[in-house]
Amino acid sequence: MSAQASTRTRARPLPASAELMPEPCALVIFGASGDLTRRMLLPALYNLALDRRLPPRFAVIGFARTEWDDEQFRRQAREAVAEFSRRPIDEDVWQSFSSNLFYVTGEYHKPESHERLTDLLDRVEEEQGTAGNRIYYLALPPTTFPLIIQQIRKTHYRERDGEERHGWARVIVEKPFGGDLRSALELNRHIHSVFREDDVYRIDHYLGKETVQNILVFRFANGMFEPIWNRNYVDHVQISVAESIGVGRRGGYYEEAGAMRDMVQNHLLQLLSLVAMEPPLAFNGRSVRDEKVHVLDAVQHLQGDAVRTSTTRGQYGPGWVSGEEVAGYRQEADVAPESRTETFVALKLCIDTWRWADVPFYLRTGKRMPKRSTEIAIQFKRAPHLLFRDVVDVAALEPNILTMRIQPNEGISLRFHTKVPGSPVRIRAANMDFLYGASFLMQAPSAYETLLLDALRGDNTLFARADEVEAAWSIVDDIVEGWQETPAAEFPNYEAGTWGPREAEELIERDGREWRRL
Amino acid sequence: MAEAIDSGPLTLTWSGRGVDPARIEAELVRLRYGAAGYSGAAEGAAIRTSLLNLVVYAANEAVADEASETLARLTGHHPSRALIIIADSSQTESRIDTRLAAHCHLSSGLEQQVCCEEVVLSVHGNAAEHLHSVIIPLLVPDLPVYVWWTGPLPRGRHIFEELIETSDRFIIDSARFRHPTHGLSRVANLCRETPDCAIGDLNWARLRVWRELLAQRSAAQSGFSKAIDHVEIGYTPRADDDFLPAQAFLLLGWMAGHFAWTTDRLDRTAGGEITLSGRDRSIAVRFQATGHPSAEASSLTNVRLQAGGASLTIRLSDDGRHLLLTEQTLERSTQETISIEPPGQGELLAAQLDDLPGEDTGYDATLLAATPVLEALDVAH
Repeated sequence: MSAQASTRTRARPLPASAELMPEPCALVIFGASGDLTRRMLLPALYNLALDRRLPPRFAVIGFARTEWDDEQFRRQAREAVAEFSRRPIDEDVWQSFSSNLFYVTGEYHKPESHERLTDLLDRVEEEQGTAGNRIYYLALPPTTFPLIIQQIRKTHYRERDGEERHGWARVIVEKPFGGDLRSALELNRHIHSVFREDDVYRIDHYLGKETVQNILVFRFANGMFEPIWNRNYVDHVQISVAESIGVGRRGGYYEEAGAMRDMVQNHLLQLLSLVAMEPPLAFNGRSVRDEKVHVLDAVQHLQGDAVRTSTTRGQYGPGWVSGEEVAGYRQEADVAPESRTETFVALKLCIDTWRWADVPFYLRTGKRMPKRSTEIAIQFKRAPHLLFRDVVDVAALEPNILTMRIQPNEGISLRFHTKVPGSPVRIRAANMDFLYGASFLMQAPSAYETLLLDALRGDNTLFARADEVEAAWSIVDDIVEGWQETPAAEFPNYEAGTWGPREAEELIERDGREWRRL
Repeated sequence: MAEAIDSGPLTLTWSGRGVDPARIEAELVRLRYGAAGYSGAAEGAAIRTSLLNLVVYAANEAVADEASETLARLTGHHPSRALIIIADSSQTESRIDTRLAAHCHLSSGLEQQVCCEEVVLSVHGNAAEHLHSVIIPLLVPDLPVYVWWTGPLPRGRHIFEELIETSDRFIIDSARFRHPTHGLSRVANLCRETPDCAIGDLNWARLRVWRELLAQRSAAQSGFSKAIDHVEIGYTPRADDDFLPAQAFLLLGWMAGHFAWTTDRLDRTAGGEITLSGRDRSIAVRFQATGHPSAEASSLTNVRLQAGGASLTIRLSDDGRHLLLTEQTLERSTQETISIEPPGQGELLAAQLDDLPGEDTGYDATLLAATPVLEALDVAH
């Protein structure tokens, strides 16, 4: 065997990410009998087990009011995994994984329930060797958070046999992180009374999506894009989150939240901050989140007349989506028949930085739109010298657009001009689509797999920090306040299955631009 | 829901009954996964290059199959997503049945491929009355939407208008109109009522060589264009009616625009001629039904322009593969034979797809110029 061949067969070192196995720990899920646990958390944990990403000494302890025992919880978990896992169940892996699932029935506000939970935690830690490390997952409505945090402080941090407990503790919090800036500050105050900010993991599942992470890789691992990622070359940015579904069973919650609080405050502003941020010093939680906060701090707040000219609201009426007749928002369950809640928002934001001066960011989100689609589109300025004005209608030449598709079909698309084959010069725009999944022939992990693994490892880069959340609420609060002073249009003002109200078109057309067709 | 998967080396297919459009998108992605596997591009990029969305409205399965064959020949040059729609609102159950195909062309020696996606949708029940809700979710974002209406214009307006509204360019074939004057008038009116309406007509593309020759040769003779006073347009009639064909109207409309004739003041003589107004003269136009051994019904057989003692005549040869040009002046007479290959449906469609949605092809102006003629002759018929 030649020396070269010998070198080739030598085992390659594992990538750093594979070596970073999480420390032993116990994961406590509050709301373990709920929909989020069933659809997302348990399938994600199982897939992590399948990929050997869970720590060797690991336990999941479910806590909820539903009266189950360990075995019932395991049966429910198996059904959930069978239904929602991206991969089928491997019996051997399942046996190993499920043997570490435990359950406590209890009331969130009752100390005795938390005492029982802590007893189980102590026992599991001893038997499984989880070293006292705990992660608390609050898979519950935010109104319950202060109550649970208080109980965690009282019972879970108790001394044991006169000794202070050892091991670390982290908490994972689901959105919404409050309902406005005031409530967010209050919630953060509660959380910080027990947990250090570095141990708080606020989940916005968008941040766990491969393409969202890819925004950073795309921008900062390629030398060719960053030089043109600024006001000199970018005409404007469009961030769109369209949903084809209605509010479904979330009518009660949605009546309070509306599209602004449910989507803009978190998903859309997160995407905006990733697109607009300066290069961080390092790819770690502190540096990345510092830069994201800088962007949010630099967003011009909309106040007074600017709320009227730079935002618009909508609510869907009955219509047709995907060949099916659907009800209007006011006909949905738990929605007031005269509801004024917005199911659609479009707004124009500007960022006061050297990089983005005079570059508008147009954001829109809505329910019951023709299709489900989330994307960020960077529209570049037209070529400065129109060389082909004598042979083509230059007005028909469309600008270059770089599109990052978040869902579905994660990928990147570049629109550019090309000559049509043949002798006369004819130019037309072509789209070159890079489909993330098809290109790597492998299924990407779900957002929850990514985020749970990061939380287990103690990497909070992809989680929202307190100041980030507060900065986002500060932007949103000003708009909501402005809306309260100016009555909304006559609702419903867009038909289900359309791209929103006419006012949304006017908002962007006033600037001589138009929304992309998603 | 029943479904079947069938794989070939370059075309991957999938079909399903009662399918949600979101599922269709997911299955298309799965086909691309498969295509990437075929190309061996394990970690290479499975790139899709797309120029446009093409929505084809087919009256039935047979028309859909014919359209599918036409599209298969175009995919290499016009990478696109094609949606072939068969709408059947007569059924009570609202349902979408789907056939998908990814046609992939591998570049020799490379792991790159160009994939075109074809989606055949049979839309039943009430959903057929709301086609936009089925079509829009399946369009590739931000690419122009070309709609090809394959048949005659429908009696009802709803689906037709809905598709016009969805389109950036709407392609018809006026040769298929049952009543050409009504059909062309209707298209002209619809276009006037619809903002940014861009119409393409395969029949207009069939006239391209006639238009080019008339423009070139009339310009070659000094003063000829301004002196034209007689026009004769010959055509093959249909067996079952005596309607003037759409090609005759379109050519006259084009000539009116090209030679600056006015069509809004026209007279009709007892002999069937019409008279248009030029700058300083009138132009007599005569339509003539003639037999031809090879020309299809409703197509042009000859055109003659007369300017005083000079004339330019273009005649289709008996074999239909040549145009015979005769230029006659007081001093001389010349003849020339030009080879033409009658374009097939695929080539005509390809020519339409080459036009940008907002590009001015002269068709709108032609329709506008032809409208008074259409109205005048429609009354006569």
